[in-house]
Amino acid sequence: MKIKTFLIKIWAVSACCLTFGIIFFLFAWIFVKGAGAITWEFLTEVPKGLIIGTEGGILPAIVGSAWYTGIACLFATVLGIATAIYQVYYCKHDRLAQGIAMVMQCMAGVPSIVMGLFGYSLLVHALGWGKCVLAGGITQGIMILPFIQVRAEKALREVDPALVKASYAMGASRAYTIRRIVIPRCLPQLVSGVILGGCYAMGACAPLIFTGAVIMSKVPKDVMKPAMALPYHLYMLLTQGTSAENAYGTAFVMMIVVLITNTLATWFAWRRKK
Amino acid sequence: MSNAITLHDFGAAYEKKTVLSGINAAIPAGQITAIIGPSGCGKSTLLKAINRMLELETDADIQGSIHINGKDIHTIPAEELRRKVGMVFQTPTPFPMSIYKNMTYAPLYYGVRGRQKLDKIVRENLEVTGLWEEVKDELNKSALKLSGGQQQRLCIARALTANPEILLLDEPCSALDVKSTQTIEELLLKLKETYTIVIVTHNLFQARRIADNCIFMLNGEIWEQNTTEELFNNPQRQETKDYLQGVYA
Repeated sequence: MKIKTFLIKIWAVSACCLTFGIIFFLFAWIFVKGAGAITWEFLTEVPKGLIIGTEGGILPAIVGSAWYTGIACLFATVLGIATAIYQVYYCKHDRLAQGIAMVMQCMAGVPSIVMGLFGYSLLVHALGWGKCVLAGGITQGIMILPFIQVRAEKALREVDPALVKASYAMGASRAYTIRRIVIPRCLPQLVSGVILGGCYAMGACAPLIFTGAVIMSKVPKDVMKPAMALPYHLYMLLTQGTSAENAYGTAFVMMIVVLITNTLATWFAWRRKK
Repeated sequence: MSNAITLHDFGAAYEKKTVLSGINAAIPAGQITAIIGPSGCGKSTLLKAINRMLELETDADIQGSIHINGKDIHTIPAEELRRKVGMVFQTPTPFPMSIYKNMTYAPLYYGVRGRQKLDKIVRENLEVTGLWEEVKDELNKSALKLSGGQQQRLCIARALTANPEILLLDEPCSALDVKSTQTIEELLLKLKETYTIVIVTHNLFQARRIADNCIFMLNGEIWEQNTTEELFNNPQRQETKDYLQGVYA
């Protein structure tokens, strides 16, 4: 019996060490390899060189990724939180609520490349938008919609029902209660859900391949035009064998953005709790 | 004397289980009526039926009718009804915001605007509940930082900001200490001049101290109702006698 407990302990501890080890190694490797590529020019110039990407910087990709991610977050937040509110506060039929939950689960399970093809057929092709920032952003938004909706629903369900009842008991409507009590109460979880969803969207390359990302563009100013994106740029740099150093540099920038936004999300949730 | 609330053959059942049946009662205006009875006898359910909070919790089947000032409660919108019939719960439910915002929550909803008007509502209702002197310098403090007794008085004050005619209280003192309970009882005695009060309590001494009338419930039915004095001194039914002597406890 003692040996068994001991073995389980060893297993748990080593699994923990391995997980942390992998994450640490990943970050360290990219930081060491990528830090060298980071210069002021790398962050503020457009890609240059005889083969595009060997020289110059990644500014259009940084700004492009910000655009894609922003649109994706906006799209998914509006729909995701509205769906969650409907499910928790308005939907009176269990069957319908279960149906919505099932659709969301199915959406969460759709491979991102299939999302990309869906975005391509509907937005780029059928609606005739062509490859553009809006199409790419919305495709990513559809991808992170279930991600945000599930977190929002969980947060809404955790709001103390006694508070909601107390509000109803004064004759306040559902809408007023949601606006004044429920949303402020779970704002930290909602914001951190959106930020994490944004990180997920920013790192995803597959939805953009057919819908918006290009090898080379200017710093994007129009959502109806295609634009560069960090993950796609990274993918091209590596698959074309253009510049390993700049690929590490791009990865470095992405990791930094993810780290910063994650820290922000945690900090925001923590500050609101206090 | 007029009746604020009348119940005719009222009954409620959910999941095919009858929780209330054959409820006939008249609750006089401007008095305190206590509903007493052993746990699970349907006291709280009856209270929640009066402001239609019951239908938010379950899909209860309702029979009979309840009238508030002569009007059937199912003919007026639930929100309007709940404005007229305030409710205070067993555990204090301050909203996680400042004392001031707790007090302006309902007035803002009902369209009261302007700092002066709101300040006046906050002050008057906090004064009624005796909380004003204690919190007047820290109205922006979180309501969650008040003591349990203060929180419950805040909830009563908050319920009053909606200008109700009737106040329903569901064991409002069961989570409070003796001193806070006493303060709230004194408050209720003061409030009955303006409001009709219905209080559910498992504390017989409390019912005796503050209630003008008592309703004794058992197994989802009203077993006996009378003035408090009559019910306690001269109970008509054996079950009432047993309950008052602590048989069901």
